[in-house]
Amino acid sequence: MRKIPADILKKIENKRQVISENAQPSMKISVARAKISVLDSSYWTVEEIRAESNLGAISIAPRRLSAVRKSPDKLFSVHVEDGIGIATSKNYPGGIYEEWEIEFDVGNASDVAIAFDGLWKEVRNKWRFETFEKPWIFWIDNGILYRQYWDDVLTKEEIANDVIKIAALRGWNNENLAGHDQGLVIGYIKNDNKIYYRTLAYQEDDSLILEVESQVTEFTDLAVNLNLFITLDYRLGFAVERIDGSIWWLITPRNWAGLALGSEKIEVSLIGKISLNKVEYIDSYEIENISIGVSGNVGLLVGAVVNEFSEVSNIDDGLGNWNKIIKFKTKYELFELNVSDFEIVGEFGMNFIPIGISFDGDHYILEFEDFNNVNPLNTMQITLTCFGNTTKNEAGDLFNEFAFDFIADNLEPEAIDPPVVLEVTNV
Amino acid sequence: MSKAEGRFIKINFTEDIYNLDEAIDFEGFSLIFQEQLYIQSEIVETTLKPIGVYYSDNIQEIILEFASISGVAFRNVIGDINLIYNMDYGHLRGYGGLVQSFDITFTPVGLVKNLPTNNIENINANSTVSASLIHVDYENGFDTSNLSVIPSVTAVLTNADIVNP
Repeated sequence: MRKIPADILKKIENKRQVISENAQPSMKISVARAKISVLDSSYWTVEEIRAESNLGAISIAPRRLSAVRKSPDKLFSVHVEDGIGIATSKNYPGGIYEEWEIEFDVGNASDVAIAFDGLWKEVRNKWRFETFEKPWIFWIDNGILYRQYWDDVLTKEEIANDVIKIAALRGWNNENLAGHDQGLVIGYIKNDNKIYYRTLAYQEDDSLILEVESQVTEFTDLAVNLNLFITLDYRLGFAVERIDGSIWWLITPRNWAGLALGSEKIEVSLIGKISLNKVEYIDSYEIENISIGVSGNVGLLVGAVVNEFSEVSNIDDGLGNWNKIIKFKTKYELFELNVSDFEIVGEFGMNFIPIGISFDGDHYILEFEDFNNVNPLNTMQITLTCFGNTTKNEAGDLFNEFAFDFIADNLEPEAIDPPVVLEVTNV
Repeated sequence: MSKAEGRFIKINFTEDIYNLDEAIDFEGFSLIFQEQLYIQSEIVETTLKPIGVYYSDNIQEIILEFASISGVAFRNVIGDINLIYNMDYGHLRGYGGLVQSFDITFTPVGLVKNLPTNNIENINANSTVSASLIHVDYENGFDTSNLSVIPSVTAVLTNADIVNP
């Protein structure tokens, strides 16, 4: 029982219970009740499959031939009874109250598994698994693990040995990216209590291959039982019972890109125009055939980053000065021109940076203060360089650095004497 | 870089020197001087070629590096040093053209001599001559025979390195 707080108790004990004494008590009560979304009675359907003595392992796989349909149309099962692997099936959900129909048996079996292969299909932004017509079944006979495509005995194949436990499940297949198929995984424990698996998976060339045996080396303890599961974030996992009874999860990375994020599509359409030309029949007795061909051009924008200078020369600025303007052309058009991206250098390393750059419709124009002294002799080469730090191509990519050697005309370098020794000292 | 070691020469030019690495040819320089090889030895003339060239603080000055087999370069110099540059080999150049050949003598300063202190070693070899007599039969007693002997001498000189310098 809860105690009444002192201030409320004082109010209660007050003899003058009037509104002026603030004696009009009220109480607000809020009641919250948890909502249970999954109830055994409505969400899960409990069904007795069979009641026999000497029953062993069982594995069931539903078949859904159309991803658009929500429900499976048939259930397939394989179970162990008296040491024999028996395959059964029943219609679903229409035959839910019918007996399981025995299809065939596979002989001696100590453990069994069943799984459908199929395709993951996107239906209304959700991936649904559309099975093939029949499932693969797996069983262990005297330590040898066999697989068989349901009742087709010609497909029976030994796929591992020294096996004591098996489980099978179809993992996620990234339908948009080849080579990202988790495959139909057959996980098993061998008599060394280590976990192994093989997977029937689509390869990058779209071929379907049962890949070679691999060991789950991440699990270093001793395993006695296992099961497989997939998660809604595109992982596949092993649920493993360790020898001490503890259960461990081993899950793969997400098979993410292409499933959760669709691939981009580039579509190119071809537009054709057909013109009908008036034809005058000069000879009405002869049959004429008029054929029209459709031609289309597809333009792909390629951003070349390798460029070349051409037609580089210094020109008169109109006042007789040949030491101020250099014009040039390039193989590909230049965008986002900036003077800091250009430089001329003489043979002795004298360099000059332009003060302006423009395009006159035919040539690019570089303006300098004065590059008379770029070389001491007019017969020496000048190297024009575009560094590609800011200059871009039409696609917006920076050009690689490119350069061009040329000899300038009519420069008047300042006369400078050759170096002469001033002093020699030991240091 | 220590002036006392006598390894580096600085040349100061009137103009900048360009493309030093490409222009230099060590064969174009000769450093000629007098020195003693060891204490009390005779004075000999030595010629060295540079083994390296560098810019100094500015590109008007270059530094030549020298070395000698004895490791003392020109630190034991006696008197002045003669630096010769032959433009037929080297291609030192400035903006205004090639550096012309020059022949300059200067007086080094600050050197600390490092003469070997070892005395001169004398190697004496004594020769031992042994004669073998060969028996000769005279078949013609009237003939005049001459006997000649050619002595051969072998000297073995053993080089002893300095074990405890």
